[in-house]
This record gives sequence, C-alpha cells and structure tokens, in this order.
Amino acid sequence: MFEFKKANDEIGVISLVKRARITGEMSANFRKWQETVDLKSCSTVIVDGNNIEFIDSMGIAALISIYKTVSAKGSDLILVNLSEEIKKLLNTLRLDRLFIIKNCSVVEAIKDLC
Amino acid sequence: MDDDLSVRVLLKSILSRDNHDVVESADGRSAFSSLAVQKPDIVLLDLMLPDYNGLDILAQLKESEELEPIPVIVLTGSSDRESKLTALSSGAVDFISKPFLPEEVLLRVNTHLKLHDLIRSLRVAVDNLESDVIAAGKIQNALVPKSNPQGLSVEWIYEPSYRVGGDIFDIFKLDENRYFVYLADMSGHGVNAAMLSVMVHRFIEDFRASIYDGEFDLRSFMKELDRNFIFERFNLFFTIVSAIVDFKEGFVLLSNAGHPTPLMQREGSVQFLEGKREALVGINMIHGDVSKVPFRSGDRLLLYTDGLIEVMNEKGEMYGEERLRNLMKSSSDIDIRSTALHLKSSYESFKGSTLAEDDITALLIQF
Repeated sequence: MFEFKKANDEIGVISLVKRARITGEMSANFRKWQETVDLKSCSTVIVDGNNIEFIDSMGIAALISIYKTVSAKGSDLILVNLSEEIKKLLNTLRLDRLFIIKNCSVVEAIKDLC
Repeated sequence: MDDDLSVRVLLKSILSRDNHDVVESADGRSAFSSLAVQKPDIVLLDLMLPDYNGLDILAQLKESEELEPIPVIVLTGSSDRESKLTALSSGAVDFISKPFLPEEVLLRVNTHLKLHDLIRSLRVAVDNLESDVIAAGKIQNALVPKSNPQGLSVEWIYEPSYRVGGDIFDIFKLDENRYFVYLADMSGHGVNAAMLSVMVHRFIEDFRASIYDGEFDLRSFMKELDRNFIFERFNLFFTIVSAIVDFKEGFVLLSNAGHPTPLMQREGSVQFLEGKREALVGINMIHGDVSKVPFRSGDRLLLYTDGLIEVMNEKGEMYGEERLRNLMKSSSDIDIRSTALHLKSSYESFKGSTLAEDDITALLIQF
C-alpha cells in the first residue's frame, strides 16, 4: 500500500499505491511501515499527498516520526499535492510550521530541489 | 460413537497407542449419557447409528452451550459425499472415510486437538483482554467529572469510540469566581491513547496541586505540558484547549494547542474563536500564547474534540464546522441541557448507522 522510491539517489519519495484514507488500522500500518524505510540516507523526504484521501491523528503521528528522523539529519520533510482538508488539518495542528507544504507535484518539487 | 464393534476396537487401539483415553458408545442413547458424565476433548461420530441419525446427534451437540465447542469428526462411507458435506456445514470439523488408515486417524485427531486447544487459549486471551479493557474504561470514566462543580453551568458529551478513548477533560474551581477547564485529545484511540490520557490527567492534577489556585497561570501550564510530554517519549502527541473562566471580570482566557477552534454563542449569533493558536503538545513549539475573550451573562462557550466535526455519514461526508455552527445558532433560545441533547441527536442522526471512528467530547459552559 505504501511505497518508498529514491529520486536522484538522495531524495526519498513516499506515496500511496492507490487512493485511501490513512485512518484506523491503515494509519497503524503506516506508522510501522515508515520505521522500516531508510529515511536517514535521504537529503530530503517528499510525501506525495496525491492518493491520501484523509489522515487521522495516528497517521499524523507517523508523519511527525518521519519528520523527527529526517530533521535529526538536518534534512527537510516536504509534503506536496495535499487535499484542502488535510492542509486545513495541518494548519489546525500548526504542523504547517514544522513541515514544508508545497502546492505542486512530486516532479516539480524534485526539479525545485535540483 | 459407532455401532460397528470392529471399527470401535480398531479406533480404540489406534488412539490408545498414542496415549489418548477412549470412551466408546455403540448407539446414540449411550453416547449422550457418556457425554453428560465426562466432556471429551474430541468426538468421532459415525453417521449411521441404530437408534439415531448421526446428523441429529451432531445438531444436538452444536445446540448445547456446554458441548458446542467440542470438535466433532464424522466417520462415513467413502461414497457418502452428501452426508459429508451436510456434516461439515452442520458444524463437524472434518471427516474420516471408511476404510481408514491408522496414520490418517491419528493425523486428523491430533491436528484438530491442537487446533481446538489453540482456539480455546485464544478465547481465554480475548476474554481477559476484553475484561482488562472494560476495567481500563471504568478507570478512565472515573477521572472525568460526575457532576457540575458548584456554581458553574456546564453540560458535556463524552463518548469514547471504543470502550476506552483518547479524550479527557476536567473542570476545577480555582476560587469564588474563576474556573479552570481543559479538554485534551490524544493521537489515536484505544488503550495506548487512554493510558496517555490518564497520565495527562494525573500530570494536570499534580501541576495544580503544586501551585496556589489563585496563581494558576495558563501560559506556564501549557509550556509545562509541552516540556513534559515530548513526542519521542511515547511516539504520541495530544492537542488541548484550556481555559480560565472569570465570572467576576467577565472574560475567558483561552489557550489552544492544535485543538479544533472553540465556539462562542452570544445573543443569537455564533462565532468561532480563532484567536492565537499554538502547535500540538510535544514538539517544543508552545510559546504560551493566551487569548482574552469577553464572556458575559448568557454567553455560551463550546469546547469540542475533532471527533465531533469529523463524524462521517453513509455518503462519506463529515459533520463539519458549518453544521455545528448552524446547530448552535438554532439552539440559542433553549437551555444548555437541551442544547447539549440537541447537539448529540444532531450528529447521531447525521451519522446514521456509520460507526464512529474517533472519540467525541463536547463541553458547553454558560455564563
């Protein structure tokens, strides 16, 4: 369900294989899954919100864990393609001050980084 | 159970060699009387008994609360396919066709005994877990107020989505004119979130006990929470809205850390109190921002968790802030108890038969 790919050797991209809600059991799985991914070798991690219909608080906790891993190495976490609903949620939690949120596609975000 | 003596002798010898104790019955009547005396671990049942149809015995076994869990393997003729299917669909776990090989009998019997043991221990574990969760739910419920603190007009809805939840709230009287109220929502729900909620509740009680109530300061309270519940400690976070309601001076001090926006109902209008908002607790981003909002006679303040506005209906739509605003607006002229009931029936009828994904808590305070 979750996919991790490397672009340009050092940019990690996390995405959902198909459109889904990251809630309940799915967010518990997302949390376990992100611990298995080699985030430490990435200079930047991009989360593609394209297929994320909604995300609950456990899913948000997984995003914070990703942020903590990435930022410990001095790298950035960028969230792209988010729905308005998720952007509003991140704003409510004030996580828009912690993560970098961009209104663009993964390809555009990678181009900006290069 | 088999009417054929040679089959019974053969089965007994096969099973005894593998250290199983075997009780034989040649007909249905004696089978039932031995079942009543000693409950076997497994039953081998011939479908053609002289006085009973084996399928009727199977049906009776499965109807008995006490005997139902015992696995039953039916013994059939090799050509009797229909009876095999009927027996399996009636609750038999397997069948052995006659004539049989001793190895096959042992293999099937031992496999089903192991499986049955596993199911039994799983049932015990689930029952224990269930009673632990019920006990945890009772502990959590004991932490939230049971009745209104003296002199404060307040109503609440507190509904965990499971037996325990991640929402917690409390109300303390600070002095003659001031009350402290908080409502917190742990990330996730279920046992993890409930345990964290109990810790948060305990921490807040200790914080309050450590200072003189007259000096209770929201700014330092929120910063202290942020310092003590760092994300890495539990890999969980929580959001909280806390308030000091001052009836003498007529204002509310509000601090909101990542929580849904509180709502004020005043003279027929309803307003979301956007104010200054802090980040959720645990990521070292709380600065201690506090908003001061006028609170006059007749005003009502609504604090709620996201579970309320994220209630989903069968079409996948959320209850949302607009429905909440309209509901509160239409309840301006009724008393606060009726308003709380009105709110509850509103989101429940919106939800229909959809299961709630999150805990729902709402607190309504009136001047």
